[in-house]
Amino acid sequence: MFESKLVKYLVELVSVYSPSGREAEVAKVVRDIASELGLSSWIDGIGNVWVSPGKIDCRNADVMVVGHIDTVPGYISVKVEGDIVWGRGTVDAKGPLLAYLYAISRLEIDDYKICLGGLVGEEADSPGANHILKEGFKSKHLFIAEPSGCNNIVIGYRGSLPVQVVCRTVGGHAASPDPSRSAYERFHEAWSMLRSKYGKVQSNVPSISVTKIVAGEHGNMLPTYLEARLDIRLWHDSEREKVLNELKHVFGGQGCTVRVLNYIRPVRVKPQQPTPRSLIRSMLKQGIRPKIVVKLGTSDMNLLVPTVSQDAAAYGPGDPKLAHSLEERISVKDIVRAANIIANAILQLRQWDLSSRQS
Amino acid sequence: MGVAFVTGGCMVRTVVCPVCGGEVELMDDVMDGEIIEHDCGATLVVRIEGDNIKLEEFQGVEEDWGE
Repeated sequence: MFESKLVKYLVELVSVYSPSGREAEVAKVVRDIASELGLSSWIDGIGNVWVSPGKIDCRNADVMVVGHIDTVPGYISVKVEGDIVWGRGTVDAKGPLLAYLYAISRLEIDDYKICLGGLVGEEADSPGANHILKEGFKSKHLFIAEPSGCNNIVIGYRGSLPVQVVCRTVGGHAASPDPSRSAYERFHEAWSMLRSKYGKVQSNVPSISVTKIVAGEHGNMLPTYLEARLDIRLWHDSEREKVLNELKHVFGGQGCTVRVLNYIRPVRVKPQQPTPRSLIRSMLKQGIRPKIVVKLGTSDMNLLVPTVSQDAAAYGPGDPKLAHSLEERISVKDIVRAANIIANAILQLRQWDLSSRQS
Repeated sequence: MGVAFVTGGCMVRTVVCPVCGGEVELMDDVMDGEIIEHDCGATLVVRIEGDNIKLEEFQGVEEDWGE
C-alpha cells in the first residue's frame, strides 16, 4: 500500500535536520523521493530544489507549487505511531510538500507545465522566494504548500510592517521622578494611547505588538534613551499610511521618532479565482465542505503574489497550530486525502486552461 | 436571499447578491457549495436546487494565526 511508502518518505524528510541555511542535505532527499516517484528534479543557484514531471523551464509554468524545505530551529525526535509521524517539519512544511509531490506523480499528464519548488529560507528572510522573483518566474496558477488543514483553503495573509521607535530625553535623578524627563515614560504615555485601539486582533483594523524595548543607563537615572520595536500587521495596503501617520503623530507628541524597518504587503485573493476555486470544487466533489481562511501572519504568498502569479491559494495537510511547536506531527492519511484534493484541483485547472486555449 | 436568473445561456449566469442587491456573475459550470466574494465584500455560497440558483451569505471565513 502506498501509505507505507509515504510514511517512509516523510520519515526520511524530517530525519534530516534542516533549519534555515542548512537545506542542502534535505534537498537531496527530495530529489531521491522525486526520482522514486518518476519525477525529474534539479537544484537552482540559491539551493531551491525543483521537481517536475519532465525537465521543463519553470520560469513559465502552468501550475507552480511553492513549498519550503527549511524548518524553524529545534530538532524533534522522529517517531511513527500508526499513521502519525512526529518530527520537526512534519507540519511546516515537509508534510504539505510531500502531499504535492505525491499528487503530481499521480497525474500522468504531459501537456501541462507543472513545477514544484522546495524553497530555502522561508523561515528566515526568504532567499529562495526572492531568488525566483529575481529570476522572473511566472505561472498561471500558484499553490503555496503550507499547512492549512485538509478542509481549509487560505486566500489571504496579513502584511507586516515592523517599525522602530526612538525616544530621547535629558534624563534626571531617579529620586525625583518627572515623566517628561524619562524616555521610558514618554514611550509608555504614547503606547497607552494606542494600545486600546491596536493592541488586539480585530477584523479590518491593524494590530500592533511591542516586541522589543531597550532603555535605561543607570540604576538611579531616569532613562535618556529608549529604543522599541513594534510589529504592525495590516489587512489592507491602504491601512499603511493611516497607521504610520497616527504613530508619528502620537509618538511625535512625546518627542519620539518612528522609522519603518521593512514592509511586506498583505495578500488577498478571491475564492472564485481559478486556483482557490479548483480546490473548492475538488473538495465538494469529494463530499467535503470547504472552509475559507485568512491568516493573521505572513508567508511566501505575500512575496510571490502578484509578481509570479495573480492566481494563488495556500493549501496543505497538517494542523497549523502544531507548526513551530515541540508537538509537530501529521497524519499520513491526511497527506493522502490532501493529495487527492490537490490532484483533482490541478486536473480542473488544466481542463479550464485547455478549454480556453481551444475557444 | 438572492433570486436567480440565467442570462444568455452562455458562460455566465447572473444572480443577485443577498447582501447588497447587486448583480453577481457565476460561471456556467458552477457547483452547489461553491464560495465567491462579491465586489461589495460579502462572501457568498452558491445553493443550487433543481434549476434554481441562489446565494446565501457565507459565515465560514475564519481568521487563523501564524503562517
